[in-house]
Amino acid sequence: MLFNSVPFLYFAVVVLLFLLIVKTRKYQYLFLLFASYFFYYFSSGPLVVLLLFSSLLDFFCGKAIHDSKSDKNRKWYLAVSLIGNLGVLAFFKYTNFAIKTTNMVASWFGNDPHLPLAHIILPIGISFFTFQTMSYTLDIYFRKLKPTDSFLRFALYVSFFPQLVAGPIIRASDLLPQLDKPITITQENFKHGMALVMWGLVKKMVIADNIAAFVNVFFADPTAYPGSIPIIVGAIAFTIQVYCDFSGYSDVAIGLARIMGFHFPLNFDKPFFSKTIAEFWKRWHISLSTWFRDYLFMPLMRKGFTKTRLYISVLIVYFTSGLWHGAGWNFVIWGTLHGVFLLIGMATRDWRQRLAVKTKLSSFPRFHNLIKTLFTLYLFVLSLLIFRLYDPSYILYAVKKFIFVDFSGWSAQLGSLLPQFQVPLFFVIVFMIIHTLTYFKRGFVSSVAQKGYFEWTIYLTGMCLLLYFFSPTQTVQFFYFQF
Amino acid sequence: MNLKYLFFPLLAVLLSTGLYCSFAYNFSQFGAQGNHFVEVLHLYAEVPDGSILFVGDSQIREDVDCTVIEDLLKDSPPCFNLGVAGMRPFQVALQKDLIISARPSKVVIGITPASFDETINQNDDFFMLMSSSVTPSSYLLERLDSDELELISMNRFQRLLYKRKFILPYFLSFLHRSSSSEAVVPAGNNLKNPHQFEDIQSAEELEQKLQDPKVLGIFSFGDHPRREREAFAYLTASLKAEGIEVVVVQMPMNPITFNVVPADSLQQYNDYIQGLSEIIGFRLVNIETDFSAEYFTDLTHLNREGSRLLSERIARGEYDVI
Repeated sequence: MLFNSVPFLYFAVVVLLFLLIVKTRKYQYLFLLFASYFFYYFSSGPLVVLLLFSSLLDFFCGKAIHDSKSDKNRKWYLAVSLIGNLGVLAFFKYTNFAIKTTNMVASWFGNDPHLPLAHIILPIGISFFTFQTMSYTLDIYFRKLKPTDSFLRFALYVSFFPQLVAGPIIRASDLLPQLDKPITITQENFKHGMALVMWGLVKKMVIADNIAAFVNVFFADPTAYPGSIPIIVGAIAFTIQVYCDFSGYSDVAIGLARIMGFHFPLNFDKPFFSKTIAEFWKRWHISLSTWFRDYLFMPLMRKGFTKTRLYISVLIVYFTSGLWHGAGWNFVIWGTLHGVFLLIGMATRDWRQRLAVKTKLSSFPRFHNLIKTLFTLYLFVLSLLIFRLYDPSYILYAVKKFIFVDFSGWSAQLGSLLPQFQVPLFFVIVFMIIHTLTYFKRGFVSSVAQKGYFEWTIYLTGMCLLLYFFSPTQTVQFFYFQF
Repeated sequence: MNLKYLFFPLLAVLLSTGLYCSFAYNFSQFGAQGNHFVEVLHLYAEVPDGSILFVGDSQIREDVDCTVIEDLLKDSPPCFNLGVAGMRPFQVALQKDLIISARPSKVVIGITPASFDETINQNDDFFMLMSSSVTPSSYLLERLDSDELELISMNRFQRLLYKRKFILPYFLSFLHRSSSSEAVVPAGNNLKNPHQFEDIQSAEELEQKLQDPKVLGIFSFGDHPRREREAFAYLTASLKAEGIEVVVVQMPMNPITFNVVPADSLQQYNDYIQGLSEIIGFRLVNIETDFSAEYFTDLTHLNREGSRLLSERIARGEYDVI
């Protein structure tokens, strides 16, 4: 069930009405749990049992870890939880990847095993909810959290429908305490939540989905475009599409939760204004970045700081992040590349600072920051070519054209793109303007929610009109559902 | 929170729906081919009884000049060129009842092997545009895919929603109208001579084009979907059953095409049309090879001179069409 679909509209209205009418906490949460499982069942059918399995496993492992007296037992229970969760994830997401890789490696050595691919359906959002449940047991293991006594609360934490299939990855310490009190839909939360939901839907349905039309055509075969201009425009368009698609989903998820009175942390914080790759990952998919920081990077660095350990840990984290994003070598390379960018950034920090002083760039901090921002953006857009293109020959071609810019015939190339893709390119420009404006004037959605009902209604009407007029006629799935 | 606060979002939805619907209701710009097709749909109700209708895709639209035919044949019934670029036999078949209700004396259907191809001749918007005036027969319904079925059976509100597809492109088209190469039917044409293509492609360009398997593929009759043939047979048989004279014209093709397209593929097409003509009993006129390369703008469309020549030959009875 997509957020941008009519069935979800009915679903959301029913949930909202129920919560408005029924005031008893127990029934509210029971209903929310039922609704969340229904929401998942609607798109994944019988695979909904995975959700139940994950919830049961971590509920009991969490309790067992907490109740265990010896460290050895604690480790055993943690291992059971991790093996259970990662085993499910590995089976559903990485089995075919492993088979393909085995076939590929064998073919390098002259063998041709032709291992057949397994018929496995990837459950929607499996990467998100397994990471979410794992954070619960890990937090208990690290003694940051006490286990909950209520399976109902825990099951709802795992399956809560707004963030179930594409995040944000909410920590138990953030959500479980909020499940203690009855749900009261206040005016303030309702207004704020609705404003955010509409903002997210416009980002997704108006900007991302319109741009997708161009991106899909372009990335089907980038070698069909001789110069660099279409490659650059295509890469920028894809960057904007992914951002609006994913951050739009996050906005809707956070907004829906807010309507019900739950506060979720921010998942995107204007990442395109980052001045370094390290900063970028503090602003892009924040819930995943912090997950990797707390549950992978920090444990890897526990034995003490050395430069070698730091560099290796960074590479492991970004390698894993790439693998988390998708079962393909392009994703792994994409993630590792970000680790390499980060390491280069760390290694050259002093040199870059000296260079800025020497070239007098540091005397013009705004200009200096602009250059840093543009360079960070350049690296990210470049990396997304690897993320989006699966065929190695396409990746090599596009990356080459992106790095060694070939301006020959640029006006003709642009001229041929414009009439064909006027709508997507229009929305690329619209996004750039809106993104810049909302960066300099922060809290636009919050300010709308704080206005009176008249202004708020005008805002909602405007957003609905944007959806009516400019959303494509075909419903497009959220890009991050595949992860 | 009180239930009454739900009133404001509801008001926003109602307001925006009302504003959008009132705008979309009056909006009627569907792009060059869409607008042209809407004119065709309107024309069915207005043509005088006994008219001659030329129907088909862009071959008909480009090649037939009804003003020339009417000028030369003073006493002939009125003639209309209803060719629309991208119109497939299946989509023409869906208009069968409209054609019959126009009570023409004769329907001339122009075809080439490319007419039966669904990769290049593809404009699904036509399904939506005719959804208010067409009820598909069960025979055609069975052959529609789910997307097409959704488009052809849209209700009024769904059509209004679908119209949003055309709104922004229409307004943005003002930005580059001067440089746009999209052909537009001349205003006040009355569907007599909607000739649009003026850019002439050289022999070298066309030969190079034919090296592309995708372009060559449109002439591979055997690879085209069966349903286009079935719809074509259904259309011709239905018109015949209503007592309407049906003439199928195998339209001219650039001689370059015959040098490249495999002969067996063309033979398969000829055999099929010939066989169908014998079964259904429509008159078949084959003028595929009658025009030299100088009369073409591209692989399958005649230029103005070629169009005039073809229309004169039709009017003078050199081709047994009228």
